[in-house]
Amino acid sequence: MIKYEIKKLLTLPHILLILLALAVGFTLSCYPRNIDHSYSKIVYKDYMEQLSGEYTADKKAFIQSEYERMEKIISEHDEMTEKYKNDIITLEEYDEHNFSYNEAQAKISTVEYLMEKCSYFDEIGGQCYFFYDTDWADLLSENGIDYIAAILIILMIAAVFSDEYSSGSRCMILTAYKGKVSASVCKLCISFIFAFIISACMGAVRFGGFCLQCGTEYNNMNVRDLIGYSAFSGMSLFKYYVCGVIFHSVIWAVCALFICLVSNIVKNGIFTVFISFVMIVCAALLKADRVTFFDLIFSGRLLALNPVDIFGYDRGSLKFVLFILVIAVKTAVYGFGCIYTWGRRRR
Amino acid sequence: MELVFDKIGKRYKNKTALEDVSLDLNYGIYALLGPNGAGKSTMMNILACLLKQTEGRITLDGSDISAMGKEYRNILGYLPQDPGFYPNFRGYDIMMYFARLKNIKDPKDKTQKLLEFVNLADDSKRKYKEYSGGMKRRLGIAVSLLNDPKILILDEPTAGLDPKERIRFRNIISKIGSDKIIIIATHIVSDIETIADRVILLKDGKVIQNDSPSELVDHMRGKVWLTEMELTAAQDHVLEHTDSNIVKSGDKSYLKTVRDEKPFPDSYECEPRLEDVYTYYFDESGVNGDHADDKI
Ligand SMILES: Nc1ncnc2c1ncn2[C@@H]1O[C@H](COP(=O)(O)OP(=O)(O)OP(=O)(O)O)[C@@H](O)[C@H]1O
Ligand SMILES: [Mg+2]
Repeated sequence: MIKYEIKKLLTLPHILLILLALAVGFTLSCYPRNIDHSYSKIVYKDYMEQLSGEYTADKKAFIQSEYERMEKIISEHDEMTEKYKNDIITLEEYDEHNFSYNEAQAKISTVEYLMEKCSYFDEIGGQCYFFYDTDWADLLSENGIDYIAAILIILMIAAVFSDEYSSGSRCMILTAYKGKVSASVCKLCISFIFAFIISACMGAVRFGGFCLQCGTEYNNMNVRDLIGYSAFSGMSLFKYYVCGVIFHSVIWAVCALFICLVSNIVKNGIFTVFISFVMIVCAALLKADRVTFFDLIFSGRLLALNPVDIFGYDRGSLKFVLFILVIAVKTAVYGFGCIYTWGRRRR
Repeated sequence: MELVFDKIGKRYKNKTALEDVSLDLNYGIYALLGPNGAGKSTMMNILACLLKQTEGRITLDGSDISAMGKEYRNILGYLPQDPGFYPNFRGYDIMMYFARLKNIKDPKDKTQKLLEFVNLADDSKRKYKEYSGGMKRRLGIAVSLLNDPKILILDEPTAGLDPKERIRFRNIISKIGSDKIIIIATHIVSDIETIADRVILLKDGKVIQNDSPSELVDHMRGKVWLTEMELTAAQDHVLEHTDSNIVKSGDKSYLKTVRDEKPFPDSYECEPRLEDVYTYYFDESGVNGDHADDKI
């Protein structure tokens, strides 16, 4: 039975749609991200060539001295200009100063960021490492709903039940021995797993694009070395990314059950797509930065959140349990709702 | 096995589709005959547990079918009026899918046998969307037969079939066996004339007759009249009288009228057929009155 349900889901147009979505997702992730930083990525990269490796008191002192040196040069600027105007220093000396001044202007924000990093390291304690983490930080800070996955999942899952209504095969299935409960459970399981796989594949494809663009050398660095991720000590960047993808995929899987329930209620493919889109994607647009009760009801909002927003502050505590609970309750409500509406006798 | 309809009634919002239908069905082939909108599909859907009746209940050997669940579905075969399958599935796949749904022990073997039985074995590898209307119907019948149903419900199984396919259908039905309750809803009399053990006439949601075809035909004796007539005159007549139709024999044309009284002085009685029963009971002109309360 599962074999044929999968066959219904993976028709040729659907397969082409999946391939297209994956290709688009990959292409998009190969382009550099346009994210503004308070510091210069190039300067930061230069410093990291010197600093990379374990965070030590020497390195902290070096950064501190760099900062002081630059601050001094910048503060001297007016004075030097004045001196040059009054012929107290030569043009060569002034030139030399200007070179350092421009360099300091260009670098100081990055050094400030490095100092911020130092105080973060001091705060979290333990062994910390410097490395060029901007690309990873950008990758991990991405939030908002994945539109490609959304379109793909909504379009395909909406068809699972509503096709049976529109083609008229529901009557024949429902009068079969296993047509009431087993058939709908089978469809639900496939929808759940399919949405999970699609979301996971999109995550994998994005990661592929990222690696191609930024390399793989830091994949095993500790995610806690990134500012804001102290709660995830012991997790490598790669593992953290995978967990994030799994987190979103689980929510997508629950969304798939929601789409199934909608299609069983409205019994029409186009309506199902429309309602699901509004309830999931539009809810995601009303993005919140922290989890509220509202987010727990609308899965779309959970999808738009970054896992660090949910678990970042006090991991392993109530929030995780609450998340699991919400997922379990939704799965049960949507699942039983589907089974009931599918097998219900018409009035 | 005894299937009992106990005062079944079905009301849609503002339309009564079935009213006080009581029937007692045993093994055999039952033809449910009625014009469009008589309530045939409604009755079939209730019997298939797809639709909830507003009144009454249906029992199989004493137990309510809606409470029997899987046990009932296990012995049920149902072909809806407009069944739909998956256009990209091959005939064979559709059979196999339903064989799994129906929990058939040896699905491949059963599928193969049934495809041969409905004469689709050679086309089983073709996609459903490439099937002709007749092939689709035959596949539907094969699907409904997968679980060797004890109760087989066919809602207009011959709609859209050519005469040859109709004959093939009749042969299939008569071969299925006698240890079943087979209910065929149709408004095409010739499809069930030779195979039905009993004919149930349904009109405006009410059962108006329930008898064997021969009894029904016997009841028509003295009510079917032939009148030799000019073709043009006959044509004018049938336009106004729905209880009449034109019969041609050689170069002569006759008017066949189903009516309690002799329609013309020169009319003469002829041998009734089952289609005359249909004309008699479902004539809209009202010349013959309402026969709902007629007792044979
Ligand atoms: N869902 C519905 N809502 C309201 N009225 C309905 C509904 N389904 C059927 N009806 C009405 O109930 C009556 C019986 O319909 P039904 O489909 O059972 O007739 P039928 O005998 O199968 O006709 P046909 O030969 O055209 O298939 C019709 O008048 C129809 O308009
Ligand atoms: Mg009908």
